[in-house]
Amino acid sequence: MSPRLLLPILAVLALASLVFALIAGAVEVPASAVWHALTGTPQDTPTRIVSELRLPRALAAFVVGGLLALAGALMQVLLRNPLADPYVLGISGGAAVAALATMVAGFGAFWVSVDAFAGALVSMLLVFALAHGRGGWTPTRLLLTGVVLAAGWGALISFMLAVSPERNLRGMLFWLMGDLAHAEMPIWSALALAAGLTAAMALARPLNLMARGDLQARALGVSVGPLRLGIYFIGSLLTAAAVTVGGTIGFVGLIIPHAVRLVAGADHRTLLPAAVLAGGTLLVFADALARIVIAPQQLPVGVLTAMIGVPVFLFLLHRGPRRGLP
Amino acid sequence: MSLLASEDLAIEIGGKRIGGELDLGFNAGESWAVLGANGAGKTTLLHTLAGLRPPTEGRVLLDGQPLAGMRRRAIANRLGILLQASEDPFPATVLETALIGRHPHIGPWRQEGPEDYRMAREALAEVEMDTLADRPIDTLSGGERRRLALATLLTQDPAVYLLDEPSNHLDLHHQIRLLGHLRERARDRGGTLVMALHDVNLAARFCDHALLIFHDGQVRHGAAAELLQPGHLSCLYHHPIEAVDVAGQRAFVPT
Repeated sequence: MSPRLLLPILAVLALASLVFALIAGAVEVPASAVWHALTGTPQDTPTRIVSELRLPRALAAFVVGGLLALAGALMQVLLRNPLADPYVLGISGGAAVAALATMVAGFGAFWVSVDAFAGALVSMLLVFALAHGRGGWTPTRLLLTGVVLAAGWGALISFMLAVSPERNLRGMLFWLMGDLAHAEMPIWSALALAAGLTAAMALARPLNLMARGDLQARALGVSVGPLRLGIYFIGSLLTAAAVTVGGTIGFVGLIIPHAVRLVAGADHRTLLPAAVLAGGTLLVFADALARIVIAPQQLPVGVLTAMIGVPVFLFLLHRGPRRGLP
Repeated sequence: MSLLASEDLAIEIGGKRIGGELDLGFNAGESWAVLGANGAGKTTLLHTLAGLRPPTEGRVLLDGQPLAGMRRRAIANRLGILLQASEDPFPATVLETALIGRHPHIGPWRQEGPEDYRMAREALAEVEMDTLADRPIDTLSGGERRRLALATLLTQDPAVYLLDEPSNHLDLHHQIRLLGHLRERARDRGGTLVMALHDVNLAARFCDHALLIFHDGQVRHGAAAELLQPGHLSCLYHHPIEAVDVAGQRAFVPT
């Protein structure tokens, strides 16, 4: 599909997903209530359900999905590895350890978010410092450092799950699987997404070259060292912002960039904004379904992203890439 | 002034020193062959001349300016290098790949314009790949990939062409046609051509200057007619080589 068509189509889909997320839920809400919630001051209960519960949560889902898909696309080109996702370098592991420890200590959702962000930053700086040792900052070295550190965080997470009191376990598991139930109006994360996308778009053409190897990129005029450093920090901060809001929601950051590549090619000038829209849309749909599939109980949204995403991705993969494959 | 020059140059690979007080000058219209056995340092020399790695001693000058102080983008405006191998882990089409050659010529927030597309299509036509413009690159053969890499370099349109084994994977027809085309283009546009080659006969046919890198790190450079002699070449490759004249051309045959 031509990139010029893809972005408007994705934007329409994103809007549709948001409308769906506002209408769908355990409590039936008339369309007029949605309209009132979006335009006027909330009055009756249905209107307040939409404006105070569903709207912030739907927007948070969109922003987190966009953050994860963008971070995933950046990590894949940074590490020149199609299997990379936002979590591969251990940033989410650091966030999870800090978040779970905060839960065990009995603090509320606010502190869980603050500590998750702090944990992500600590992990980001650790990987950066360790990978920067003698021998330079190659993708392989960065990847190995991150993967090993992630394994370390994983062990700590398992340890904490094993020794935590029973009553904490459900909350911890939900955080680990990704959960937007506590999401509020995503002001900071939306700003992070806007800033991250703007910065990444400025680097989009150099990224196209870096995807073809460091030497080739440098030969064609890209300063690869500073570019790689910039992408590492942008990708890490986006991931940290996403994890802070929604926990470690899987699948979006790995698969959405590939799905977009299959539909519209690997030009980052299209890929990056398209990934944001597609990732946001997927997570909004997934979160709305997570609320209604076994309502009034809720599922962790991470379960739904994979349940929707796997068949969609397999279909795209089976159909083959765009343009003239024999 | 030479387009590309070196002063007191020495490079090192794995502890072995190559050159030393090497003063090279690559001038407009010249075509150079860099010859040497496997591991002699041809690629390392080309990468050093392209500024992709720092020299052990001395410096490289592009248009009289030290390469070390220049931005990569400014270098890429004037100097292009055909790398020995290309990587492509992510999908792309042939035309997109040729088009990346325009990168150093386009400002950061600008898009490729019709002129850039025209140059990319022209370059693809020059390597006889214009009919494959929309093909994904992972469906290309080894030789087609090589021609595409050449097309990317032609799209870049530099003054200094550094070519690391340009004839790799190319069939006989394309070897002769493309090297001839490159030489003409460099001559017509006042560029210079420096290519690492394994085929002495291609060197003799297309190059007017030669640079030989011997096993012990000694370097000899000068006119091709003087250096491309059975004696030097036998010593270079540690293999007896004889010259014969066939169809008005000199050919070198290992015995």
